[in-house]
Amino acid sequence: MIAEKKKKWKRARLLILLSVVALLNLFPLVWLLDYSLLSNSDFYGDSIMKLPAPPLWSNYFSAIVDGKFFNYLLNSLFITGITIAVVITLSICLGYALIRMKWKGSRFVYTLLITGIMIPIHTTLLPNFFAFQAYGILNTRIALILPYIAFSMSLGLFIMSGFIEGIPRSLEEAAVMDGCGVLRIIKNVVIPLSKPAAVTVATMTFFNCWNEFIMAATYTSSDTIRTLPFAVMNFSGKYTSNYTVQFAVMFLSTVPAIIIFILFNKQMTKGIIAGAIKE
Amino acid sequence: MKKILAYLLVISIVFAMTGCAGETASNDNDSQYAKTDEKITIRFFSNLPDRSTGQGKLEQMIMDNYCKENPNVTFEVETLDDVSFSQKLKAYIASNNLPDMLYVNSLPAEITPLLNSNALADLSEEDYENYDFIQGALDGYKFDGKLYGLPRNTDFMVLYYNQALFDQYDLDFPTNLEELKHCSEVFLKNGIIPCSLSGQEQWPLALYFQEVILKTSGNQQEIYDAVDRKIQFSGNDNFIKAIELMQELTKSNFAQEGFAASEYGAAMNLFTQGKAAMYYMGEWDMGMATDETLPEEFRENVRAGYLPAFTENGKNTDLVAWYGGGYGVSANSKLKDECIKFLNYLMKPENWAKLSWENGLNFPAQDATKYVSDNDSQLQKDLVEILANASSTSGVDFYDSSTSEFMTACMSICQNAVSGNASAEECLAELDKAADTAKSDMEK
Repeated sequence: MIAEKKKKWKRARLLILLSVVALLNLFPLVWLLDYSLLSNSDFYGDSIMKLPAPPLWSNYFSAIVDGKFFNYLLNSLFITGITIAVVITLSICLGYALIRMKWKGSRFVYTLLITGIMIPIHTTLLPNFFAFQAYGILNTRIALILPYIAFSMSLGLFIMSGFIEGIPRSLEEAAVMDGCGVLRIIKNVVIPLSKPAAVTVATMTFFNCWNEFIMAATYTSSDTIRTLPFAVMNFSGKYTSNYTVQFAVMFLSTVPAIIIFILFNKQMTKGIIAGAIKE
Repeated sequence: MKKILAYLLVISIVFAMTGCAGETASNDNDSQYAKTDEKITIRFFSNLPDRSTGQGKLEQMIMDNYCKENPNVTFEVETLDDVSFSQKLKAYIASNNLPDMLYVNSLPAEITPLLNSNALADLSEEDYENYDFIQGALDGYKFDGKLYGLPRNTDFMVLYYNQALFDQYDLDFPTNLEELKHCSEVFLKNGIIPCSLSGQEQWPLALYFQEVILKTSGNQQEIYDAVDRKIQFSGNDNFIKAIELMQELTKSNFAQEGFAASEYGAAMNLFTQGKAAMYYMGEWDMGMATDETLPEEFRENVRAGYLPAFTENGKNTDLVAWYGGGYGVSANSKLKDECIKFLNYLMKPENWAKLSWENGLNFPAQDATKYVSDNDSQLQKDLVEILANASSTSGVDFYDSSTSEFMTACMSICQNAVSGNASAEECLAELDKAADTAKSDMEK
């Protein structure tokens, strides 16, 4: 009886603790929603939360119409989608070639590719700008897709190679005995087993591209190409900004990110853990 | 399902590639259009991203009107906020790929790289004889006798005040330091913040620093001489006294608590909500009087005056004033003549000057007095009077008159000086150090 009570109390404490953590994590989102419904004159003040009276839904109207939200959203979805597809494909193929295949210099190439994680974006802005200008691809979607792929590849390869290393060799040997070639092994053995890592890479690439601004600002100039972070910038004034509408834009652009996170949260954690432990 | 996904992927990539080709083609076609004089697309690079309010709206409105009058002209507008704008401008200059027309700031640190790379087209000064530009407004864009741009605003710092609060406590707007201190004490006793200052962005405090020095010494040139190393900051009695007086004022809670970290909008909000009686900022905030989201009582009572003289040497009517950014045309543009034609249209007095005045957006660099009418807010009338009665104006503010490194160092030093985090001697020694470094950098 006492043991059961203790167990219940322990469970209650855990629930309280988890609720507090959940609330702390949810708070910025609730705050974002709350302030996106205020008027600009109510925006500043002493209280952390304010009851919008009445809620200014017109902020969302401005965000969508004046902020060209859907135009940017479609561009973001397209550019991020292509980037994710290419990064996953390349990181699986590269990961397999570098981890499973034995060839001279594979270790060196692997290290070289992984060091990409350490390259700061700012150092590449001007050289890339020159290169894209020379190839005539400035202000095009490809001018964003290419660097996004490049900057996501290193981390993608790192996670994927860690995962591929953990796949038992015997499975591949069995596939070879069944007459599979390299491509078939990748398609039928590696890809199905690497799904958690692929989801992790996809989610991380998604977040990197979704919120990226500095490269988009440098390589694009036209609204028809630009991505979601520009919807926030469109409400920046010379000295002060229309913060409540900016909050509405931010809330709207956070929604797809939250959906992605909710859908793939479990696989993402699994992928990171699996990639981190090597036996 | 997998096949459908694969097809979708292929289609998307093809779409991406064709999208690219289409965009590039449209850029390359500019020259052809220019030759046939049929359809042209002007690439316009602006630092006003918000096209639905303020100056961005005005810029867009005049562009749209121009397109209606000239159906063969379209604009491809690229807008970025100030920081991103400067970064991208560097890339454009380095790659010799400047947009046809762009925002150009006349500050030495910003216009010099453009001039050094011969990136700006020279304009004919005679074209602007009837444009009502205020005397000296074009000087910032003139180099070696040639004109490279046109300014859009006249900017000057003022002390906004809430007349209703002054009336409530039977106070007059201060005309000297003693009166300012008295007003401050009365407001503090009644739970009102005497003055709202914005410190987070640092530049408002640097401008306040310059104006307090001006209102202490009555000498506009002294601070510029110190930047040019003709005199030292350290040991100068005027500078020491000015910093001591402003620190004394700070200690008496003249500004709101934590003003050094107060964001621009937050500082302004204290004033517009009637929590602060005064607010130190530039004339560009004159839209407060017509902003319908603000309380009506406030709009009817907002006024502006000079920051009062701090000593007998200082003059109330001396102003920290300069001409804000403007527009220029790329020297290498294939559409140079068309761009100059549009620039002339944009800056026509009945366009930029009149519309910005009538909409209460900003103070143009052109004579706006002929547009003053009974419909103008009292605040607009106050501002016209302040500028008209100015006994002297500073020109480019002191922290912008040297290198960008000097500007960064200077703003931080000014923030410390105003908030009292460092003594007068320490601040002045730091300024000497920054000015020395800037001087040697410029000589290199």
